[in-house]
Amino acid sequence: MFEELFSLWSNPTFQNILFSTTILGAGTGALGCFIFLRKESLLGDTMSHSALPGVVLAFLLTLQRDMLWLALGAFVFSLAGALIINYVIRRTRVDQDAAQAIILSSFFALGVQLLSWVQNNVTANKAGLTHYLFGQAGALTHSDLILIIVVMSLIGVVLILFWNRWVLISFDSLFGKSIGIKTWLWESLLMGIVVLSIVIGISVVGVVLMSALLVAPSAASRQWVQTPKGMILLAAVFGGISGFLGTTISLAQPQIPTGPSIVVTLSFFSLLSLLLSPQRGILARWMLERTFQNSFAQQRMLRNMGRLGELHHDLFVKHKKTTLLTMDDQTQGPHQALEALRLRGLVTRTKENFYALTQKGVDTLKQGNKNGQP
Amino acid sequence: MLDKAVEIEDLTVAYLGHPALWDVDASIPRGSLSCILGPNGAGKSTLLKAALGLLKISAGRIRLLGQSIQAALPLCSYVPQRSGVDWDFPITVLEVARMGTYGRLGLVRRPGKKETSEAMEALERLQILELANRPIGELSGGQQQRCFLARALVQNAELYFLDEPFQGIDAHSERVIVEMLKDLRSKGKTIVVVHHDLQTVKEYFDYAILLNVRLIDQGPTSQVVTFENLKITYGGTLPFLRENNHV
Repeated sequence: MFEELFSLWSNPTFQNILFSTTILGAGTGALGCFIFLRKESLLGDTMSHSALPGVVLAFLLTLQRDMLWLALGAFVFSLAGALIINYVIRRTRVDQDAAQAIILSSFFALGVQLLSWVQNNVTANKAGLTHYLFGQAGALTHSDLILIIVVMSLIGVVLILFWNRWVLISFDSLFGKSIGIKTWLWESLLMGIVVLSIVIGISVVGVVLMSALLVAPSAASRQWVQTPKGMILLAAVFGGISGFLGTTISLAQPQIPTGPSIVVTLSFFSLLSLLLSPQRGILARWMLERTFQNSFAQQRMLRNMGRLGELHHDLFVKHKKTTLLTMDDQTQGPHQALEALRLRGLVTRTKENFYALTQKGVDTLKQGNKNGQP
Repeated sequence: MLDKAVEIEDLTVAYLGHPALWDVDASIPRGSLSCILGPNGAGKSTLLKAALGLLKISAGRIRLLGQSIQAALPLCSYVPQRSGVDWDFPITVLEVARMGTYGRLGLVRRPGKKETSEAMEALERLQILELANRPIGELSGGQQQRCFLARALVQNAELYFLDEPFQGIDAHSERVIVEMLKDLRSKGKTIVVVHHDLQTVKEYFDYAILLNVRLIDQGPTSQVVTFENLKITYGGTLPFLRENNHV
């Protein structure tokens, strides 16, 4: 198994693909954090879908599958999609999500229409155009790798250099404006580099799955860290690893396409983060809630036993379990509460299966009455 | 008090053809602790944002500290409404306070030791220094507001604009903030606060602007915060105040 993997990783053609997807994943993962934090995740999706008609039109105009022209078409249409959304939000009462949904589907539909028209009516050079739907990492060449490295480094430098600005426009844009920062300029620049990363990315994973590369790493990373810097680093790591692993899987099993393989790997990390992260994870929250409920149930049980005891003028009187269980009007685990109290030594169980408060239990109860809780 | 920190002339602001402010003439004396009063939708926040050039105005002229908005902006500090930001944003209290230095740091410089110690000092003045390294998501409403005010302090401005700083915060936070504002006033700074709580107006502020899309009245609180004026400003919703002798 390891030998197979090793020979896979040392194959120069495969290395091109592996490096490309890893760097792409890391770069888009880092960049995506700002989209995620600005709550514009759907914007990435809209922009990547909007690129499709641009790609096909660029092909129709040149009748060649020249990477540069196709990228230019994608760039223009992505940007157009984003600008139209901005215009619609500002000038009408249509909300951001509705505007994005409308633009996304209309641009994408137009793209698919153009694409099928090309399939049926153009004969020359059209092969591979459909790969822009789901991407084709297998076709990545060494020059593609260089392009990806250059663009992603550029994005990285811009992110690091103007760090303050990105944090400002993501956290509190209004405050940014009030200290004289041209927020529209920085928002446009951010949009510009997002479009740039989309244009590069869609040839690898396709317009349909591109937004996952931008959003999934930040969603996963947000679960674990509490600072923007940490979040971006971890998102880059998630994105990079997913690119690498996803590509490895699809190289080892050629019938599995690369783009979806990367996205599935990413989803795996996201899901894991949503479930397992120590503070925000579903599991941690569930356990915290259980602990609370448990301790409340124990407090209720102790109090009920005390009240019953007062009625009998004997705090140490033995109670039937069914009595105690029916006294608790809440459904949250009176049975477990009783067991927990027994393990804590506040309650004892007799041979006949009766329950009674111990000295420690009575003390705790009295102490609790003084402090307001047992 | 003749010197004006804020001068607003014939200001009209409209959203999608609907006027939020209509032909407002108002001014704020330099060195005062002033408030803008009015019911919901009266255009209080809009007036604040317009004064700082944060939104497009339909008509009017605004001068801050005797200069144009653009020129005066480095001397101004704006504390937006707390509800305007995402408090689940992954950032610490200290980092938010340090944002107060971004204006003078320029394009690419990061806050260094000097900026950090300034931010720490501000946090201490607002009694949240021990929360410096906490994520802002863990703060209570009052602590969030104090965090925002620490950022404003760090800006070291001449003219402060605060949008509803007392909205939904605890009594202790309110005391700390009022103390800080009075301290700023004693240093000759001018503070403008969008305020909601009529009970505390006279206690906290020395100058008031009463607003309901149009300007109702302005002047020293003791003169303009009268039952008659409030009735015009708020409509017929105020009888309880007269009964309780708050006005």
